Amino acid sequence: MGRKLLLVAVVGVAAVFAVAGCSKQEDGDGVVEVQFWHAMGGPLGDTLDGLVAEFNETHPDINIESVSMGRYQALSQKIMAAVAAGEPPVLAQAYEAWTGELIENGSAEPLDPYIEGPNGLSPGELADFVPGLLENNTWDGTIYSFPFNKSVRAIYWNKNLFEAAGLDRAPTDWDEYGSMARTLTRDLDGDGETDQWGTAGQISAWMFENLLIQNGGEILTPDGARAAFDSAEGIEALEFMVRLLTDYGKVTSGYEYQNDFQAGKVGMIEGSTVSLSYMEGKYTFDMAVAPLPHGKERGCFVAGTNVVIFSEAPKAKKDAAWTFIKWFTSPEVTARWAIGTGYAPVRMSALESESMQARFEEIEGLREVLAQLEFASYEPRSAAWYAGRKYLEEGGVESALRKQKDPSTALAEAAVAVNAELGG
Amino acid sequence: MSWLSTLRRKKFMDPLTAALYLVPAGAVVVIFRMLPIASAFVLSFFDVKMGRIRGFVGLAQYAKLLQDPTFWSSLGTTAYYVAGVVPLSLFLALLAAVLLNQKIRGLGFYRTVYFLPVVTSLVAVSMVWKWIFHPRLGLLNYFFELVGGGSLQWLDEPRGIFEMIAGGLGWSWWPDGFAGPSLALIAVIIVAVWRGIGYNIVIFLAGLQNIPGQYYEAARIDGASPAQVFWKVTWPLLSPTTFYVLLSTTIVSFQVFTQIYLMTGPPVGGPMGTTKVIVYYLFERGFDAGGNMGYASAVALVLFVIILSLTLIQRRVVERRVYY
Repeated sequence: MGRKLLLVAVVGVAAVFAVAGCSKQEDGDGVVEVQFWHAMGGPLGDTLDGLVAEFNETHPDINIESVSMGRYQALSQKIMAAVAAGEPPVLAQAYEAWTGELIENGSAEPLDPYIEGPNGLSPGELADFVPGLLENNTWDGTIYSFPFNKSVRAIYWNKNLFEAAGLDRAPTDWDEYGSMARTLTRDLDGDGETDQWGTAGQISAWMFENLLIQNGGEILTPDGARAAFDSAEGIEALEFMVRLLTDYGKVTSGYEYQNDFQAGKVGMIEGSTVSLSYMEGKYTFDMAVAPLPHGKERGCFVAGTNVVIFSEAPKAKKDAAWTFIKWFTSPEVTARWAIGTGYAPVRMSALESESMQARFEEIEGLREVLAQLEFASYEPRSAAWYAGRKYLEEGGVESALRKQKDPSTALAEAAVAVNAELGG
Repeated sequence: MSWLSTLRRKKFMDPLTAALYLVPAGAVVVIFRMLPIASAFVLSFFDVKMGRIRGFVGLAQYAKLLQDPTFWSSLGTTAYYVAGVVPLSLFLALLAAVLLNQKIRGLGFYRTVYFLPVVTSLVAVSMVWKWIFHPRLGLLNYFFELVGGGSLQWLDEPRGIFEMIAGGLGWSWWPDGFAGPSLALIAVIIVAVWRGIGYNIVIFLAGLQNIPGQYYEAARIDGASPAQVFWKVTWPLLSPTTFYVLLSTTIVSFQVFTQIYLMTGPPVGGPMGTTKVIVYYLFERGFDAGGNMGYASAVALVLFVIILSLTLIQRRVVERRVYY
């Protein structure tokens, strides 16, 4: 009896594997299946899945299968492993550094033939893309990826707390940023302990990088060969960041600072425009957003990924993937993507669309925040910088914010580690 | 089943039959253990990106490795981890095994309870402990505050515990380099001990039950105290088991990955890289964008050599005190 059961179990398991082996998607009925790997979770994933479903409905001959891989790091690891195994998806989100690697490997499909092809984009449409975005997706004169989810940083401010402190607008420059944060830091019940903070944030290289260029600094030397963030401008920027987040604010782990802001315990926070979709409906005060305060100059980095098509896929799938990209980056769809997620629309005309205008009415200051796109900068694209960036975050920014090292030492040590990465 | 018994009678001792029996298990070991080790050895001399060999680089990757401060710090972190997990796990498991070896009521229940963490998914264990360690919402800080202690940052605390203890005693100065493992790493160590202890208890219990009863009887007749019984009878006769547990726990501890990957960060290995152990460093170097499998293989080889030499040293030094 026992042996019989065992036999049944073995056969059963074998059958499951056999069926699983056969169930690989076959393109029946002329519908082209396109697997799309991304790292959009929470409200972002919901919005993306909604748009994908709409695309599939309006394009009966194409089925985009949206597959969330969790975090960006997990996505990159899965893409690299899939390419190594010779079985990449058709379409995936990718940072510029990943795309560079894929190009080197011959796995990234050049997009110019699609752009210039019959189902392409006119010069007028191309000119409508947010300035700099397409250039940032171009390698040696060829476009290999397309802007997908792009964000900039903004100040989120609690108008009620500002008003109570006698302030009527968000800071516009560093001096105001510091002094307003100081004014907003208060001991409300008089027990000698701070219970309202001017600002709060997490350990983030992104915030430092923005302060760095606002102060006239650069991340790397112009040839991209060495770290440049350990300059006098960089040290000053990090000192300012430490003062902001430790004297007039607090450093929290992960996204805790957003919870504190939503709970009305923090006057203002810096965050990605995407934080809007996470915070929406979770606060009870008057909230507005504002562009980043300027230092010696205005400055803001664009973050977020692009999409790539993999060369290994069959022609029909690549065409279908391009059709999706074209649809997704059309003015109307990119505007709806932007409204649902907080990402910046990738087309200038989308900013003028009716739905976007209505959104600007809802969120005070959003128009000015997105206007930062006009002078936005982009991070270095090399894989070496992508690998080295964590030394700036962990070694540099983190050790200064935790007061383990003073900013100049922290940046000098991070620069040594980054240079080792760039040199090797 | 007569053919089976005929087979047994006639051929059981036949070497060829023995070899045939070994083929399935042998194939698994060769394909999934030996070949990967051999290929890692070969790949460590090549530049390998996205599964493609981009050229022979000789020992360049080993040279780069030895110059990478992150490699050395991850090695140091691993050493702290091993030095924390191995003695703690051994001591607590032995203590629990000796207690569980008594004739007490509900023995089966206790043995099950201690073994439960071992059969629980490590992923689930890590996620639950991450919550327990949460600075604001965690159970641990809740109890700490209940008894009047301050709350700790646990997995977010990069400061070394020696430095923290010194600070708690009122010493503001503490020598650099002697800060000790970060509290975050201690938190991971606690979970590793909690999780691994049940397995070691089972091994110790088996060892304890192998000790013949007459030795205890003789000791009792001679009027030995319980402490004497433990140190003169149990401890020496248990030494082969203790030695095995020491070796296996050391090896497994050097290879820690899952708890680090799930409990620390973001970025994983944080805060300030104080929980970045050598296997996570290997993973990051091999699988992240811009990663190089050749380099990761070199790291794996170095780790292999380290574990092998430690095992040999343990055999030389510790085995002399083992009574078989």
